[in-house]
Amino acid sequence: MDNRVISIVLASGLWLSPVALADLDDLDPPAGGTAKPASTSEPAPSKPPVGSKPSSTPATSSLSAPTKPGAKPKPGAKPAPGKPGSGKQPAATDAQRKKEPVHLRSKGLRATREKGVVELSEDVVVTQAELQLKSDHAKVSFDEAADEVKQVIVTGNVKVTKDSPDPKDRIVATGDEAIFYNTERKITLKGVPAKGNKGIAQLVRGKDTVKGKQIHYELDTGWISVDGVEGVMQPGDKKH
Amino acid sequence: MIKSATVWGFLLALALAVGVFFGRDRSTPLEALKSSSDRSARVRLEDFVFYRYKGQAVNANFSAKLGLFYEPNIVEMHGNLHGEQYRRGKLETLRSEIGHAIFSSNSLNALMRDGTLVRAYVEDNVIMELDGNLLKTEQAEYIASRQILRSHRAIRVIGPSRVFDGDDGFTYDVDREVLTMSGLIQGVVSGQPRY
Repeated sequence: MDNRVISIVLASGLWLSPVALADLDDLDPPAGGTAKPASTSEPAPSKPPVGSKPSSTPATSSLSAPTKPGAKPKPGAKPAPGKPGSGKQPAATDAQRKKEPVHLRSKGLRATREKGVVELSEDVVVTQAELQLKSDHAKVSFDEAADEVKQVIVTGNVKVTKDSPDPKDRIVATGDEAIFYNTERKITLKGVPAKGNKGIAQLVRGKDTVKGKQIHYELDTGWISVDGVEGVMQPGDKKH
Repeated sequence: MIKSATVWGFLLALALAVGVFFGRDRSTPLEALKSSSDRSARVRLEDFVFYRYKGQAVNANFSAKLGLFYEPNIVEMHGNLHGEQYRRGKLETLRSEIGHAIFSSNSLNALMRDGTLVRAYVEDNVIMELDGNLLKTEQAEYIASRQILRSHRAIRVIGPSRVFDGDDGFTYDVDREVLTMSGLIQGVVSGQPRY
């Protein structure tokens, strides 16, 4: 697959699904050259410079979480319940998911008079069901009326993982800052430019890798959109 | 001669310093307080309630089963200690089984007249309720000059539908209303009330 093609498509602000990526994989390699498997560490050759917009429209990309080829769930669409015998549990509703207990672990806690806010520091681990956020610092906001976590802002060496029985749906994301909106069931992952740090967030789902300045991931639909995208690759599983 | 006197003077000073170092009182303030209780109490109160007035209104009260007053400024309390006070319009409560308080006064008469709390210790099933949150621990110390409540024991904070456990104590800045917990912290926030 030619990463250049993908970068151009992404820079045009088009939404791209893994199905589309698979279609691109089917393209013949360039004449006179051999198909070179891309790796996650290999940047796209024609990637737009970080911090600059490649076109008049913001570079935005989205990946869906298809369960079967040709199926492209739309943003906001609820996942279908698991079939008997398929090994998947029946999908919980959004209301049930956000009511799941949130487990917090750290080596320090600070609560101020600001109502319903707790700050955690050092080796922070926030877990809700299959979702886990690790970071150096976290600010947890509670919805006092609904008795649930409203949002969690994690900063510093952020690692977000979402486990799944299907390896293709497993998520590992890294960045400098992430906001977990429990009510909306989504995560925004950011890269913050600093000395020696380009400020790029990265998300890996199955074998797909997305890099960008900001990555939005919807937990229930699996929908991913990226601002300031740097590259999308499908390492391995290539057709030669 | 002068040189010899200087050497001897230095050695004497060193010996005194070593003696002071090893002979210093290593007991904690609470231990010192308890050792002072070996003496018999001058005043003994049973089932007492103290009230603190602000103008014509009561804004704090404190009760216990037994109160022992030691000269010049120590009060020891036992059994079902219960304190309540209104601060910034919010009710704060404190419960425990044993308490020691040190006042700034130089006699019990002065203590009764206008005793100012310097330091207080509470232990055994200490439960504080602050702004809708319960703090549970086994021992806590209040330092009045810094308005700090602190403990080195494990603590559990129970709020509306959330629980936090701290392994290594806490510090609560009463004036700024900032709670800091250290050591390993583990918490659960669930949609179900935990009271």
